[in-house]
Amino acid sequence: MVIMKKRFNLVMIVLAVLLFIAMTVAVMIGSVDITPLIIWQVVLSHFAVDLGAQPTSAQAIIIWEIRVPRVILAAVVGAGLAISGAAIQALVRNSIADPYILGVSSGASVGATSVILLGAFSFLGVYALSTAAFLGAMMAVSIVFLLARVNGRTSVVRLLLAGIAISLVFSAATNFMLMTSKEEGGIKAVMHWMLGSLAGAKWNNIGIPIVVFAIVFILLTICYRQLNALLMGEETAATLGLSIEKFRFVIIVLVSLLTGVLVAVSGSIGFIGLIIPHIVRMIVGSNYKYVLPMSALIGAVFLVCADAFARSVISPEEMPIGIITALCGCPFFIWMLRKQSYSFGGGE
Amino acid sequence: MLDIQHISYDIQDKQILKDISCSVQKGSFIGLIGPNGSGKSTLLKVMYRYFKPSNGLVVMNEQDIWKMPEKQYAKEVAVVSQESPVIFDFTVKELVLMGRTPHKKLFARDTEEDLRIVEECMALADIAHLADRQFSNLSGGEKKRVTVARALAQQTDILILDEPTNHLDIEHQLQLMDLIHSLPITIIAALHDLNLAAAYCDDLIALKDGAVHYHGTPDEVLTTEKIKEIFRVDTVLSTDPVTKRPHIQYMSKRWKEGK
Repeated sequence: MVIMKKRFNLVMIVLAVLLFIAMTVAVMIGSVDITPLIIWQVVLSHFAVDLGAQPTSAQAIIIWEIRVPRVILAAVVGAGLAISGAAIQALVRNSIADPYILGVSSGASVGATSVILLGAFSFLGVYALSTAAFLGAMMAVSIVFLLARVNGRTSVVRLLLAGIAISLVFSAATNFMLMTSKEEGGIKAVMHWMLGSLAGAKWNNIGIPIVVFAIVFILLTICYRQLNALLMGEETAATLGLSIEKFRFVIIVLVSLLTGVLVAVSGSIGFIGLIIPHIVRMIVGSNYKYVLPMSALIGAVFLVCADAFARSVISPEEMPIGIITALCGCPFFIWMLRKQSYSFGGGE
Repeated sequence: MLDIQHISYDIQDKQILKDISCSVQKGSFIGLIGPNGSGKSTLLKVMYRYFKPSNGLVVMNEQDIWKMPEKQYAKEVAVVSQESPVIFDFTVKELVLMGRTPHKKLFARDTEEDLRIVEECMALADIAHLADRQFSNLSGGEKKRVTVARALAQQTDILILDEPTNHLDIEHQLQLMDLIHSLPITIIAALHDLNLAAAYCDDLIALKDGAVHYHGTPDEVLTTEKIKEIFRVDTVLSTDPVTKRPHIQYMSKRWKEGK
């Protein structure tokens, strides 16, 4: 355990440095070339620190108004999806679960599609898309949770199966809207949304994701002992003094809120919630005291890099980020699958 | 200190436990014996608050256990259940440290005291040398001892064990029984091996078809007639020269009929 702790501290420091570098480089990348010194001059000038560089006003606007919020959102979405995945895997005690298993992404897709194609919630203006996506996500999760609850007890298998069933129903609704729509542009916009994009990041819409992420991260980290106990199975968790029903409910609410908010601003970016917790467990084992903070950092680094890549690979066009996360993540995941020393939460 | 009052437990229409009453004295070592399907595990699960009885009460220190907060109960009763598959990667020490869970407040860190208790419990269960090993790589017997160490780390007044000697070789069976016998706390254990039960328990409760048939000292409960009634097996009894407790030899039908 001492070894684990040392390794954890070391890896966390390396990751923090990596995140700093990745975020700086991600701000540099784009059609306008910018040096790191100018970036930090612009950023720190908002905190009354002068590094002595002289950015032009165009550079200042591009950096502060466009690229910085986007990179911050990438970090928050990556971190948030990763910890949501880790928490869900503990909740259902199954390592193939991801944050969308309870229906969040398919619910959000219905909301987003109805806004894009049918013009629902148009009275909300620019917030219509995020609001509808969030409401759709919450609706799907609530139905899943109610379906999984019988006689006041939530069964894990029922939760998983209800999640799959409701996801299918909501996907069918999305597909129906897509099939009956005649708007080419709208259909493409829906596809883009479903594959995820951080292009919409602005200072005024990244506040909520940051705050919700911070709250959920802190609450989950506080509960790391309970999450560990839950991994031991229901019976053992109960004998260790956990009130399972209450705790499960809290975790479901926290994770759904967080993923709902993230999906609302970024679309349903896949793969991070599934793969990052596995990478983390390979490094530090399954103790959630370590798993949660490290998932957050690796998730952040991964998505910042993926987004930078998505912006630059076919510029001036943007690649949907979901394609990048799957393309880069899969080979790595397959390599992990072949490794003997890691059990994937499969026991022996 | 633990009073079981008119407990019954039904699964759908089937009555698994039928009006069971018994009480457990502080500091005693109670053995629960009975054939497969007699309700031993179910009765234990009712005692350790995992199954809520359909009728009746379990009272601990004059309090209904279902009216106690989960956490408080976990400070009073620790459990070594029959199977505890751990499917995620934890080291032995991390697992034993989990026994401290009910003692920790939300923001509390693991203190020197917690780590000292964990070291002690690992030493007691003879697994100190495994501290940094992955649990999933251990043998069945080692896993069982880790589970026992985790239960000990809960520092409870009552320890409930469901067939703790399963999967253990003879040496570790005796070692484990010696260990729990030496603890100054109340022990309730479901046991398959009647000779172990006879040698270590102060009192035995014999269950059959979900009802208590006999409750008494090993000398009282383990007689040829009663064993025949409960287990439908013929036995030859003697007195163990060392423990002075009953020693049971089973006779299979084949040898009895001289074939």
